[in-house]
Amino acid sequence: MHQHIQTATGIVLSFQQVSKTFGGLVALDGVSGYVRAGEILGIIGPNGAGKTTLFNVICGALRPTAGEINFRSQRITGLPCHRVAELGIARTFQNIRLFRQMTVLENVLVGCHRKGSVGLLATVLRLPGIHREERYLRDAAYGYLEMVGLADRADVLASNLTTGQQRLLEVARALAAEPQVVLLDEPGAGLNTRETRTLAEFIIRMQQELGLTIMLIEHDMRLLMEVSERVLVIDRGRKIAEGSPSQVQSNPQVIAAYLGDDFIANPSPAQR
Amino acid sequence: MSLTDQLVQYLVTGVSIGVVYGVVGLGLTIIYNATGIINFAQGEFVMLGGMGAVALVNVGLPLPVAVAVAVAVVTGVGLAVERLAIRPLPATSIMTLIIATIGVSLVLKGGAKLLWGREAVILPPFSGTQPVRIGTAGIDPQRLWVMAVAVLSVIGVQSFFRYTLTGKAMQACAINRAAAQLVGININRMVSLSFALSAVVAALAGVVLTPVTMMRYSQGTTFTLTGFLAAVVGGLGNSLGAVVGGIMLGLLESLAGGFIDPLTGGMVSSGYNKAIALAVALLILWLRPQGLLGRQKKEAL
Amino acid sequence: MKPTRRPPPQAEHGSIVFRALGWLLLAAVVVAPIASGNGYLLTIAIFIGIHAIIAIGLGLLMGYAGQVSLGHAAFYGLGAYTTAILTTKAGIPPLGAMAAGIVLTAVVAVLLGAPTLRLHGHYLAMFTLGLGIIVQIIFNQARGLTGGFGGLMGIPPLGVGYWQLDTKPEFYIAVIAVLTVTILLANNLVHSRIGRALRALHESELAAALSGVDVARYKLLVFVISAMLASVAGSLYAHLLRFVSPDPFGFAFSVELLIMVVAGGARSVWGPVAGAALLTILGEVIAKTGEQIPWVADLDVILFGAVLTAVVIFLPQGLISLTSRLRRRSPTAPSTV
Repeated sequence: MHQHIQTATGIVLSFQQVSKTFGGLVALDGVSGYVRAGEILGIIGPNGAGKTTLFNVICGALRPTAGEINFRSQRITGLPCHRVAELGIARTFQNIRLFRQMTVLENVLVGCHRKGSVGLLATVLRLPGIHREERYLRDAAYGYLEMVGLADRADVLASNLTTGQQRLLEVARALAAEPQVVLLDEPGAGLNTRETRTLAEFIIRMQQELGLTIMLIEHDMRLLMEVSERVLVIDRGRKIAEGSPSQVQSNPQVIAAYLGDDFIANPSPAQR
Repeated sequence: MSLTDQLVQYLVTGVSIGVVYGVVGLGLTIIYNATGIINFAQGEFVMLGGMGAVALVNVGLPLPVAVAVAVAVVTGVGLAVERLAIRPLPATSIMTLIIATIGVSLVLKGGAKLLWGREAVILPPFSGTQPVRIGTAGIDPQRLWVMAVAVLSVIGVQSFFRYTLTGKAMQACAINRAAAQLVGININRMVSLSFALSAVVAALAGVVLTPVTMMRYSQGTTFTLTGFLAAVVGGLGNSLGAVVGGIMLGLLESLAGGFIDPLTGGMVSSGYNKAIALAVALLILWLRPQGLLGRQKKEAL
Repeated sequence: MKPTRRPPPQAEHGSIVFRALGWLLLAAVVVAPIASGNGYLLTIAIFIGIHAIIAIGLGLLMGYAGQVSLGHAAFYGLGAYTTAILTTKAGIPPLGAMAAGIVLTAVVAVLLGAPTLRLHGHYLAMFTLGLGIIVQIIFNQARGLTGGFGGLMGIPPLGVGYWQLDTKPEFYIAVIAVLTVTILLANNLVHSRIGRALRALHESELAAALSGVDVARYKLLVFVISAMLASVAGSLYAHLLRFVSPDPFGFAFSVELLIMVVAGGARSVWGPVAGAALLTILGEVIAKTGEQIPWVADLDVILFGAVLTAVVIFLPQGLISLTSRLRRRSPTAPSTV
C-alpha cells in the first residue's frame, strides 16, 4: 500500500541502503529515502551526521560502499559526476566551490556547458556556428544571473562577491545545467537575516516556477522547516526519522539526537 | 664464472642499487607524508652527498670526516631549500610545488656542475676492494656498506617515527594538519624537519654509493624518478614499501642488464636495462595506480 | 536585445593604442631576422619559432588543465625521429612523415595520459619524465633504426613536389606560418566553451564535473593536443638541420620547455611564445659567451633553475602578466562617459 502510493506520486530520485565508510569510519550506514517530483525534501542532522556524504554519493563524487541510487528509474550508482550532471542532478556546495578566477558570468557559462555542442575541430577553426552558440549561451547565462539578481555583477571576478552573492551564484550555476533535481548543501550558511529571507523565497520559486525537485541540507531550522514539505533526519550515518516538519519536530528520537549530544556544541538547531 | 655465481653477482648488484632507490623513495615519503609535496630535488640530495664527500676528500679531509661533513652540509641544504624556496611560495597547488622543486633541483644540479665540473667523480671504497667470498662468488665489500647503511636508515627512520615524540608529532601532521596545529604542534618546524631528515638519508645513500658507481652532477633526476617509482610501487606513504619497491626496481635493472641480451639472442641489448626496469614499473602503476602494497586511496574532497 | 541585459563592453582607448603598438612591434620583430640578412640571427629566430610551437601546447596543458609534463622533449624527439626515419629510410615525402609523427605521438600520449590523468597531479609529471628517459634510451640503443649516438643524416628539405624550402628565409617563413596557425588555433580554443571548461576544471575539478564537464576527457584532449604540437615542431627541427641525434630531446630540454612556459606565463597564449624567445636567446648567449670564457658555459643549469624558482615565487603569472600591468598603468584616454 505504502509502496503503491510512492510510485503513484512519482518518485524521481531514490536511494536504498546506501552505506559509505572511510577506512574504519562509517559515514553512512544503510540510509534509504526518496524524493518525489516537484517536492522539497529537507535533510537535517547534527554535524558529522553524514548529510554531505549523502549528497556526494548521490552526485557521483563518492562511490558508495554499498547500496544503490536510482534516478528516474535508472541506476546511477557509481556513475562519474559529469554523467550524473548530464542526467539532470545539480548541486551546490557547503564550502563554496566557485571558479574564483573567472567572472560571475563565466561561472554560469560553465554551468551551461552541456547546452553547447560545438566540437573541438569547429572550435579551433572558429567556424561560423561558434558565434551563434556563444551568443545563445551568453543570453541563457544572463537569464540565470537575472533570476538570482546578479546580472549587474556579471563581469566581476567570482572571488570578489560577498558570501551571500557567492551562494546565489552557485545556485545560478547549478540551475544553468537545467537539472531536474537540485541538491542544496547549506545554502543559508554565512547569510544575514535579510539574505536568508530572499533565499527562502527563492527556493520556493525554484520549486513553483521552475518545477524543480529540491533536496536541502540546512542548519537554519526556521528556513528548513518553512520551505520543506518532508524532512529526513540523519544521525551518525543512520536515518532516524522521516515525515512532515511538524512530525519530525515532535519525534522524541530527533529531539534526543539534537539535545543529547549536540545541544552545547551546536545550539542553533535547538532554539525551538 | 658459473651461472649461479653470475646470478649471485646480479642479485647483489640489483639489491645494492635497489636499496638506494628505496632510500630515495623513503626520503620522498618522509616529505610527502609531512607536506603532501613530491620533492623533485630529492635525487639532487643524493648527488650532493656523493660529490660533496669526494670534494672534501680531495681537499685532504680523512674519509670519515668528509662523509660526516658532507651529510651535515646536505642536511643544511635541505633546510635551506624548504626555507627559501618552498615556504615563500604564494600558492601551493600541486603544479606550483612541482615547478618549485624542479627549480630547486636545477639550482642544486647547476651548482654542482659549476663547482665540480661535468666529469664523474669517485670516492675510495670504505674498506678496500678485497671481495667478500660467498661460496664461489665474490662480492664487492662496498656494496655491503650500501646495504648496511640503507637498512640502518630505514630502521632509524622507522624508530624515529615510532619512538620519539617529535616523530609522532610529524606523523600527526601527516594525518591531520589542522588537528596537529590545534594540539600545539609547530607545523613549520615539522616541515623543516621532514626536509632535513630526508636530506640526511639521501646524502648518506649518495656517499656510500659513490665508490661503487661514481657520481656525476646530472645524476639526480634519475634518482628522483626511480625513487618515486619505488615509493609508489610500494604504495605511496609507506616507508617500508618504498624500500621493497626500490629493491624490485634494482633487481629488474640488474637482471635485465645481465640476461636480456642472451635471452633474446642479442635482439635486445643490455643497454636497455634501465628502460626495461622503468617500463615495468610504469606498467605496474598503469595497471595498479595505488602500487603493489598500497591500498586504494580515498577520494579527497 | 534589451539594453539592461548586456552592458556594452567599455571601449578602452588606451588599450587600443597599446595594442596597435604591440602589433607593430611584433611585426618588426618578426621581419627583422630576414631583413638583417644575418644567417645566424635567422637560425636563432627559427629556433625560437619551433620552441614557441611546443611551448604553446605545453602552456595549454599547464595553464588550462593544470598538469605538468616533463616529457615534452620526448614528443618533440618522436616527431623529429619519425620524420628522419621515414624520409631517409622509407622515402616517404616530408608532409606524410610529419603526419605519421603526429599520429604516433598522439597514440603514445593517449596511452600515457588516459590512465595517469585520472590520478593526482604528480603522476603525469613522473610518467612523462619516465617516458622521456625511456625514449632517450631507445634513441641511443636502437642503432639500426635511429643511428644510435651518432644520429641520422640526409634528411631532405621540407617541401611538396617542386616546391622545396631549401633556403633559410623560406624555412623561416614556413615556421612563422605554422606558429601563426598554432597561435590562432590555441586562441580559438582558449576563448571558447571548451577553453572555459578547461579553466574551470583547473580551479575545481569537482565543480566542473558537476556542471557536466567530462574532466578526464578534457585533460586528455589537451595533453594529446600539446604532444601533437611538439611532434610538429620536431618534424620542423629535423628538416631544418637535416640531421637528428638523441641529445636535444632529453630531460634537460623538457625542463627548458617547462621554464619557457612558466617564465612567460602559462595562462595566456602569448606567454609561452615570449618565454620561448627569452630562454632560447638566454641559452644562446650563455653558449656563445662560453666559447670565450669556458666556465660561463656551465652556468646554464643554475641560471635556468634560478629563473624558474624566482618566477614561481615572485611572478606566478609569468612575465606576460607584466604587460597587462603596464597596460593598466598606461594613461587611459578619456574614460569619462
